[in-house]
Amino acid sequence: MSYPPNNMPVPGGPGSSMPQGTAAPGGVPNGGPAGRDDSYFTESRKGEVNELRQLLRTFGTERDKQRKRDIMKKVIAYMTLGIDVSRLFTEMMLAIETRDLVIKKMVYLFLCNYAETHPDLAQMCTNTLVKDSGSEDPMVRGLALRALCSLRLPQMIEYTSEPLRRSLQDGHAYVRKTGVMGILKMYHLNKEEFDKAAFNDILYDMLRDPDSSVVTNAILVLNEIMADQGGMALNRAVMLHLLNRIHEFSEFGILSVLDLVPRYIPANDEEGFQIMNLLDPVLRTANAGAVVATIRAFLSIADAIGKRPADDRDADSPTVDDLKRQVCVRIKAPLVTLIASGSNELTYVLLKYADQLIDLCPGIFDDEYRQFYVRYSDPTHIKHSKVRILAKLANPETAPDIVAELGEIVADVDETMGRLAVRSMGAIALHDSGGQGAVESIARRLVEMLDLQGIPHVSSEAATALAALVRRHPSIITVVSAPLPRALRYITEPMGKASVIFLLGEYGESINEAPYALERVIDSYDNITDDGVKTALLAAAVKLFFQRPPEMQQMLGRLFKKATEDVSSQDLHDRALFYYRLLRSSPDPNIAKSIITSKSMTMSADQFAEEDDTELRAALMDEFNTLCTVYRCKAENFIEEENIVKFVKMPKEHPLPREAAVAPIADPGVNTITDQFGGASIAPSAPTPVVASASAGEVDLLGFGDDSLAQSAPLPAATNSLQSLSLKSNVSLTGEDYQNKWGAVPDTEAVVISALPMSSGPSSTDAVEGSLSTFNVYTMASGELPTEFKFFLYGQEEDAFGGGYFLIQAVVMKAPSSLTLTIKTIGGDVDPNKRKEKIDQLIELIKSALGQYVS
Amino acid sequence: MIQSLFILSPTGEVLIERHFRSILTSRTVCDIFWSRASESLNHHGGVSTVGFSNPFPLYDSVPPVMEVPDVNNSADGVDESSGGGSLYLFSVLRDGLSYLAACPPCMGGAAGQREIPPLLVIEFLHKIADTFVLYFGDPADESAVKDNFSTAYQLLEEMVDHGWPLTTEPNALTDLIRPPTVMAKIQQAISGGSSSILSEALPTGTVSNMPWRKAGVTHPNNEIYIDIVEEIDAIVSPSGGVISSDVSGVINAQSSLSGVPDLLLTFNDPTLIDDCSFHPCVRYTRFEKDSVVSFVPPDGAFELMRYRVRMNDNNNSNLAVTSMPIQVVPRVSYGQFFGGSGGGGGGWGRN
Repeated sequence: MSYPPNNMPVPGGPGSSMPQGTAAPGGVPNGGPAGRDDSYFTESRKGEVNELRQLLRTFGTERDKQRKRDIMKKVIAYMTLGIDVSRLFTEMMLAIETRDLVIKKMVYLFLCNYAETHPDLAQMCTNTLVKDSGSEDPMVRGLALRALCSLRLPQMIEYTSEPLRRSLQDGHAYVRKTGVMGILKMYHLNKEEFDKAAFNDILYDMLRDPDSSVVTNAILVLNEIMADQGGMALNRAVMLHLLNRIHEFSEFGILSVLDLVPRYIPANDEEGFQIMNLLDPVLRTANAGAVVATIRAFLSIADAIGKRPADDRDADSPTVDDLKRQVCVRIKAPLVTLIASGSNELTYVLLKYADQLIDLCPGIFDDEYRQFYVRYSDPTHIKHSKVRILAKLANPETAPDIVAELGEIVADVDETMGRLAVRSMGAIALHDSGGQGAVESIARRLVEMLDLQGIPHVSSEAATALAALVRRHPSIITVVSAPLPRALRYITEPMGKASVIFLLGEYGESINEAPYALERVIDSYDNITDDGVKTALLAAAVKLFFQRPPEMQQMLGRLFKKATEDVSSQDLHDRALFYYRLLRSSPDPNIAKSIITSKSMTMSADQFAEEDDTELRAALMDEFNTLCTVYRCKAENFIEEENIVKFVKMPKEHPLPREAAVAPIADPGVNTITDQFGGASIAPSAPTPVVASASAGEVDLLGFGDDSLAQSAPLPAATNSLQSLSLKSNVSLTGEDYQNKWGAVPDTEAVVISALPMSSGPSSTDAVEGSLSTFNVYTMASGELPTEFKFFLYGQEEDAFGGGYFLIQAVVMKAPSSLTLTIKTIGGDVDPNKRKEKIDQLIELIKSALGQYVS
Repeated sequence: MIQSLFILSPTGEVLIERHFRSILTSRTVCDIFWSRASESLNHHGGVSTVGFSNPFPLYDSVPPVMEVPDVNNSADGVDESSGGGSLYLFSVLRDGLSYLAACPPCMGGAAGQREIPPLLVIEFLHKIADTFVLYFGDPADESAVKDNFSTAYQLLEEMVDHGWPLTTEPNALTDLIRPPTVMAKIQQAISGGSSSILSEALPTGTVSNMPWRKAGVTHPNNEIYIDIVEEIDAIVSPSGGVISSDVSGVINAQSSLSGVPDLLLTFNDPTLIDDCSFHPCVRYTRFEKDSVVSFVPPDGAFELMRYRVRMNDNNNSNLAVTSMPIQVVPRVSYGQFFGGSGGGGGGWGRN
């Protein structure tokens, strides 16, 4: 093993990336009070690493924990500065045997950073890590597991797979979710070993883990592992199971579920709408990511419902466009709130999305146009986006305000802002969205701008906008014509100049000075540098020649001479020759006239052909909520083909017979899904079959394609092939037995689930007993106290599953409603992990049995 | 997913660097970002020159999403996945610090990595900054992060796993890593114990339906503070009349209540609210039905809701506002002498 020389910076280290040093300049207002302790970050001197090594050597004998931590912090600080401290590897590894979690974390960090460069040394500490992953403390287990999986040493696979497998059965969610992510790390490290380990099925199993963050990770991992197939396999049961639990997910976890929705095709219209209802509350979250993901999910469902083949839809089924419009109307308010109140960065991206939604449903944001006014405090890129969007919000009512607002912006110090504002005004007139008289009044404004001599970019943009406008609305030439000749004198930018020349050539008949204005330009031909201006000049002069031959003849000859000799542009040269020969050789001048002055210029459509990007917009809509929206181009334009994620819709595993479709999603009003764990909207008698079918869906996670389950609504116990818990029906136990069994298990071994919140208390004990007995959980005794209900419940496993007894003491507090469970197990599995798992399932079962009360 | 995270100081120095995948993103992405940020008119060293009173310095010409070349390709021989040639750099500026997240565009195929929705990254970067504020106090600026960098690393470790957001609820995080409070520092100084930074217990929220609230909270004094912050955005005509005005409001709460408190917030006139968004703890259907905010709050500070009120809407004509709560009158005077005071009486002047 050869170490790098002393103090050699790692690539990208301090030498290259921190030219300014570490001292904060005094003039920085946000720098905080001067003289704070920056000791961890002071410049390294020669021999510092050696000093650290000396310190670390005394580490073992050091008694003071705080000092120990300080030494570690120093090492980590150096590491983060990019100084190579890998020479301290051996010393650091000695410190790994500690009970102090903070030190442990820091050593793990060090280890993961340098393991790749020092594989043999890293291997030495594997034993410690494996041992730690079996520690009593779940925190240590999780940390060790994460470190173990992050070592990135292919030769370590054999050590990692066993702890990984164990972690997935762990009683603590923290360890489980670390384990799930660990699987992904293993996948990237060594795919063969990963395939051998067959984790996929376990991962699918993890999708019904009681902890939502474990589920989130399982989705992420599956999606990544199966990216070739477009992401994880998805069926109705999985989708509905996840959607029913959506309120449990954290704000970022919810995104992983929402991401799946576009890939799922709802079984029928009914289900599609139910999914939308279920997702509706997500629009009220403060997380913009979740809101936009919901929008995408909505749009995809609208697509799925609206584009059903004709024989598969009801006569009154709404069309795609109707649905999408409804969706847009629904999401408008949340989106505007986010735009108005979010941070700059969010606003920028959200504006891009809003822009796209306006294209989809023109007019939806019209009445909120004031929200898109530029604010003085907006950063430039947001201002630009807003000005672009404002043009699309114009309708006869709003146009006057919007045009006035844009008029204010025209003279902005930012040149681009001014240009965009003029263009937006032009666009409003061009698309005729301003109603009666708007075109003319905008044209007048633009003409005024033409005369803004002090702001060359504005007058140029105004000329360009006018040229387009006249092509669309030829009648307004009367407004435009007067100032054109003088504008030609002071407009300097090529684009604007070319536009004015175009107008003069096209409508020169009615503009008296047109030939003389052009003559001035022709005479200064040598000073024109831009080919576009030259080409426009040539075309305009030839056209005007037919309208005003006596005035034009001389200068046209001069222009032809110049242009045919000009070899700076092939196009220009050829055109000049073409016009020249056409005029010279045609026997009848009228033929040449009819060719050159043919009036085919008036546009009839709303937009120029090059603006017609319907195809692009449709493609972008499919990739909503990705970078494509931000860049406004398709993924294939900026991502290499082999890297593009395939978007695969899951095959339809239905259709369900329309009349037999039992609503598989618990109605938000009945179940407590939207009503997270409270509210008075609970129907007094929630139909048990609904609850049962929902839980049957949960059970059938792996039975891909078996949709009979969801309809026939059997008891979960009967179809329970995957769960390790299965309860016998018709078990009976005497009171004495019950007491003996209860007493036999010490209270310390009981599992207590305390204070599960309930939406509403049951009205009587019978209601609870009834619903529990459908799930083979029976009641020994029950009673009502002033503040609570008490139940003594029991159930026995099927013999094939171990035949153990579960004794449950349930206390339901009346106000506020909550449920406390104390569970003891007798007999059955000896393996504590299995027991734990069964108890978890039992709790789930009880929860679903009491679905109408428990949230 | 997020490949790497950098936090830059106001001078462009890398304070925190974390790589979540097996790919080490080169620091040159920071240099590219920094040079582009420094070009901007309003971005001199990460600090706005537009006005010191503005708490949110602006990155002007730096859009929050930018494409940067991935120079890493050859540096790391074993890595076959970084062939995309470019990375997408998301940036967020908070308290003078630039939070950068480098994400691969999307890498399907063999590497199997997927594209990330841009908003997720930006929201998440803000979440990190929020968490820093929670832990290190406001503002969580350069010196705060430097003083607490090991806590910062611990936090990142818990918040991100393999490039995906992991634990983000402040309540769950404070269970895992205890914030360095004044009390904890004193306690540590006296006892020298190690428990002050890390709690022994893990969050028990596995069965809980309230991931945002930790179990078993007790406070000697049960109290909750509610702050309502409203921002008025108005256009005022030269004559002083209000042309249009909008209010965006935020309700912030600081809760220290024991047990599982169930709270109800009612409004005098809920019809005023145009649109609102809630913290996950709020029962949405209840609001739909009765227009009251019913919730079980998380422990500590949180943002309960945001709302928007359109003030002079045609539908709400009784709300039409004729005057603003404050009025600023510009007064311009031309004179022979330079520097005379033109402002006064509540207005500001310019000569």
